[in-house]
Amino acid sequence: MLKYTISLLFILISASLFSQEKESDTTAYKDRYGIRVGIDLFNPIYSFFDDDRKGLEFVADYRVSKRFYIATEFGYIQNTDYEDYYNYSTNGSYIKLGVDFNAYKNWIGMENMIVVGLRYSFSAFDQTLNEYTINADPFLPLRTTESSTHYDNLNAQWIEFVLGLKVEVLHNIFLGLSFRRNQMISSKEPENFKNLYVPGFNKVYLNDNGSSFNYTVSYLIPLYRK
Amino acid sequence: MNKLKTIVFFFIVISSLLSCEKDEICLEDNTPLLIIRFYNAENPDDLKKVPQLKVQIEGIEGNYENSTITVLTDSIAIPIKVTEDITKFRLTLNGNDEDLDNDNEDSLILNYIMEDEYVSRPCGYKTLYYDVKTNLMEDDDNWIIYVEALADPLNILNEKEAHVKIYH
Repeated sequence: MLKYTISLLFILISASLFSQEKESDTTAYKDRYGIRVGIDLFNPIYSFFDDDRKGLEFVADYRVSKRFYIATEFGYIQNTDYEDYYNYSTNGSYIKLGVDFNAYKNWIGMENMIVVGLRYSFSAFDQTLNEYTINADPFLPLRTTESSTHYDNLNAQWIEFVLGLKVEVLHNIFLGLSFRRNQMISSKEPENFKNLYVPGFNKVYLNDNGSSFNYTVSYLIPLYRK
Repeated sequence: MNKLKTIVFFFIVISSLLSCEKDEICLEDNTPLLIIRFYNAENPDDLKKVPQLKVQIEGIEGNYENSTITVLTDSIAIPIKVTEDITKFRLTLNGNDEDLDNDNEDSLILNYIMEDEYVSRPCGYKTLYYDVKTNLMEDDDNWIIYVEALADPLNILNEKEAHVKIYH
């Protein structure tokens, strides 16, 4: 995963070099304000190679001041995970709402971002325990239960701390990458199982935290200058 | 820019600290073993060691071996079947030495109700045994005098203490 992150980082950096030839500046430059909409590229590409995951995420942000943006992500995911003794499928959708702060001081005319952000996120989903094998002494034959158990109407809410980049590679077109550290606030757990994967949150680890990321391409719809 | 470097630095440090989790290896208890302690039938308060004990489970080839089954043992931990609600153990006194004439095989039968319980991500599911009934098969020459369950009803849920006492 880190490999992709690093290689994309290089693409973004080199792309940002190209995008530096911009219009000549006037004495009073005004920043562009608008809505930026886009999609996550990772899951659609990943689904192409791996049948165990299908997902799509839309992203959008709206600039409210020089350095602050209101941001959202929403999408759905179908995911099957294989652990040593069992496998399970998760299916559901999610929405994330919050703010992004641009920690990067742009040169005039540039609109790149180093994003530091916070999100409140909510997901509604269901889980299916497809099969499990009892974890017992291997001297005796092990029992595998193949009848799947379905858990409906599960949900979770959590907080995400976001760190990311957004670079304008072509006029109004941005490539972005973000890494998220997630902390669960509450979740409705299935009986005799656990929410080990939550759409949007990714894998849920022991102390209810986890991490996720996205690679996005987005388009800025400029509304006004200020 | 310095402020940003600080933010990024702390983010990485905090993230990596939070990632140190024992989440990939199963460390919790999984399916419990049956724990038997051997007592002296003439002096029921005292433990009495069993020499050269051989443990076999009906339907399974070979002898069951683990660190509790030693040359001279006063307590053993042995697995119970998860594929059936009955397990028949064959416990042979002097069964592990060269001399076949002194072998004495006794059979202990366990009947139980199984329930599967979720443990954790790396461990998956374990089986717990409820309402366990023990039954010693009578033969011409039992080395086991009697068997006592340590609870009524006996549920085998963990390995914290012994489940069954065998007097011999």
